Amino acid sequence: MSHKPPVSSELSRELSLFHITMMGLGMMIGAGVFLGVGVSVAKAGPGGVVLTFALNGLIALFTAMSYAELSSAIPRAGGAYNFARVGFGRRTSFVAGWMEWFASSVAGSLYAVTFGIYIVRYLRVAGVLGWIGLDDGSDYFIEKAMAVLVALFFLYINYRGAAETGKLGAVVTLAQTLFLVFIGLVGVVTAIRQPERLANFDPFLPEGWGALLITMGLTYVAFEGYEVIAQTGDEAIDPKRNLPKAMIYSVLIVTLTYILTAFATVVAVKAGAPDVGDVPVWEWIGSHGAKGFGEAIGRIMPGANLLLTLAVICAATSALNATIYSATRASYALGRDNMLPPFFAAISTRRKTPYVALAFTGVILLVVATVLPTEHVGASASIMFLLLFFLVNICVIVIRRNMGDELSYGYVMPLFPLFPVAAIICQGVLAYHLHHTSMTAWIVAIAWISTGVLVFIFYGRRHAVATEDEIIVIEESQQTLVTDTPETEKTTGPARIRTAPGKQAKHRVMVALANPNNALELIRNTYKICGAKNASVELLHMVPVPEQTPLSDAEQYMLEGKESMLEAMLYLAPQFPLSSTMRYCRNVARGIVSAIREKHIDTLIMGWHGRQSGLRTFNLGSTVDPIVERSPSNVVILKDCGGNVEFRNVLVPLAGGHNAAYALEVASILCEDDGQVTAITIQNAQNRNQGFNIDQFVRQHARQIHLPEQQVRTRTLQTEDNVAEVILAQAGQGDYDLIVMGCTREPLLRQVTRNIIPDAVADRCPLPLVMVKATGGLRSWLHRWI
Amino acid sequence: MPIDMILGCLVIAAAVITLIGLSLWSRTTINRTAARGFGTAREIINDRSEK
Repeated sequence: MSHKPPVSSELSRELSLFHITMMGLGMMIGAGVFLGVGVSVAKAGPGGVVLTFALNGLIALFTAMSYAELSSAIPRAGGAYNFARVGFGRRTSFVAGWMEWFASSVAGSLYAVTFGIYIVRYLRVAGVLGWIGLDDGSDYFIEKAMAVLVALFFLYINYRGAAETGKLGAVVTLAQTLFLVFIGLVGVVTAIRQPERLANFDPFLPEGWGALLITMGLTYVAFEGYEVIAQTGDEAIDPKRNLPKAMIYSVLIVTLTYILTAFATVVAVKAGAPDVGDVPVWEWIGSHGAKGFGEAIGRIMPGANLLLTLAVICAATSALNATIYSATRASYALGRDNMLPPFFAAISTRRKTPYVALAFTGVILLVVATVLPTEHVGASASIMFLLLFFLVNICVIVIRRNMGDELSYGYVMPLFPLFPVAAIICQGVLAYHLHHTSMTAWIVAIAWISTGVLVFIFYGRRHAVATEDEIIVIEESQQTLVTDTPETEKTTGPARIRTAPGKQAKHRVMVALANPNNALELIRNTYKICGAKNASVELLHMVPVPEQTPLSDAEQYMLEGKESMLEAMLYLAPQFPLSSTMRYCRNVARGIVSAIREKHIDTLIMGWHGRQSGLRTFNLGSTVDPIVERSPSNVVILKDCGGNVEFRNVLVPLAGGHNAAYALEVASILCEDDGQVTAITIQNAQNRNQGFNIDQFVRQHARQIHLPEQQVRTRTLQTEDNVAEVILAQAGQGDYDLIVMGCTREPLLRQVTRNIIPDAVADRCPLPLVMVKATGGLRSWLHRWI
Repeated sequence: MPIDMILGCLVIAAAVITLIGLSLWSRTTINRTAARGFGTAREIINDRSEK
């Protein structure tokens, strides 16, 4: 048998926390804030512009927390695309990646054009263009040419590699951030020295609170830097720690900077100045539109016009750099997973950068920059970012709920799911209100998404490969109930069963199969429990794949699972609604608990071979213990319950509580119709004073017992011995053929679950053993939802 | 002082305080998680509640 050596291609890890924070900041402090301040003052007033940035910052932080949590658990290039893939599967993730690619590319083209506009404006004011004989009519073409040149330059910088990308961008971003902070501080000092300028904030919201919805939507593009940070997952140093930190830091820094800058803009203009006249200051700033910021700041900073031009150029170029990086990684991830042709994932041997993805990104960027009207395309980028973040906030909820026990996190947000839900609502509202500004943007967004769906249908769906982070469902089949027998009792299959009459299957039983032998052992008892509960059956086989083994090689582990599935289906399918699932996972216990949550299972049935882990912290074993602890469903664990043994005399040690009642119910189900269930309670010095009355307990739970009253007897034993020893002694004396007991925290079995059950009862007991845990109460509810 | 201005200033102050508070809390919890060793969501939440 020949083995192909594994071929792996990976990006180099060179980006520190500082670098990735600056990359996020660089993508945020693009041209958006310089243009957005003036527009926001015009539309929402002097207080509105500050409120716009403060509230946008808060919404951005909520989404950044979602990104931080997901990036810490899934730190790979791809950002929102990866999260959607883990949370929703391939189709949604493709659309997410496709949107991400376009949004970042188009934002890049917007910044390139902004660079062109401002550099030409400066060259015109400085007289350079006039000196070389170019008149005003040629400005448009020169702007486009400059946009192409700067885009090509940063495409080359990105090709050079991550370190160069991060270092150059970091320097430029740091300079522009400090410049904006300086402007803000000058504004604060001005307001302190001339407090009468605070009157510029009156009226605070001349257009009302509703105008904020429009300005927040327009300027939200200035808060989307955490996407580029998520893209650095393959290149950041210590990503589980640094990615979430960088996201939080960048949003905090940028929001405080924007608030300061907006404040400075309003107080920079002196009311009643000769060229302002009687016009309210906010109207005067607003009348300059996108240039309002520059016009205002020029009044409190000598030489500000030149500095501002340089700052805008720096901002546009650093944002351009970051958006190229982000768009390239999005398309790289699509190629890596064969959603797009695999050459998108090709990495340069020399530079270790995804050069093909970069080239395609460059094509989109350059075409858009030179052909399309920038205002509408910029708005469609905003809409797509909002939709993307909307999706990510849903992802964080779904992934925490379904895979919270499977993934290893570096950061988990508080008060879950408050913040993602708040962000979802806010982003939905902002995206909707953008149609007031640009209906074309909505049309472009819908057209791009529709194109993506077609690409997925005709290429991605057929070629996509599994990723490391997915719990992969590789086989799933469904068979519906074929019998509609009205009798309450019937004899079919391997055991005589009692069925609940005339009800649709609402109870869902999951059977965790390990191998064919284990399947046969479980089937007989599953049959009885499903019959009594009128349940549908989910067969589950988890395939543990070692960390060192690529999931692409995992199929070799599937054979036993398929055999056990067939065995189980052979017996169960004719009687019960049945589906089967096989999954890869890194940890069986986590995988099973995740599956229970996803499929809303009521009862889990699994076998236990009795082998001890050797660690004191594990009682039943490293697989069973976490399942019993974390499962949001009932759990029934069977040991040595195979063969054709009929259980006619069942011993049930009880000490009260949910699990004891459930043990009594399970015992009555597994017991033959003419059998006997003996419920015993053992009182010793430790628990005698608690006053547990077994007769009363059995009467209280009579409705759960599936046997006539006379077939259930009770006994109370007084002893000074160890409880488990007494149980074992009873098992040996009483001609019992099964013990059913609960994994409770009650005094009796608390002793058992710590040390005694595995050693004294389970291992030393010659009888078949069933251990149960019942769901119920706040703890189980929390396990189901958190 | 107009009511809009008072409300607006309160909203801005609340937003800034929330922003800084959540950021500092997040920084602390990231450091703590890294120091204790990364884990599942439940392990981190349990660890946080034991603090």
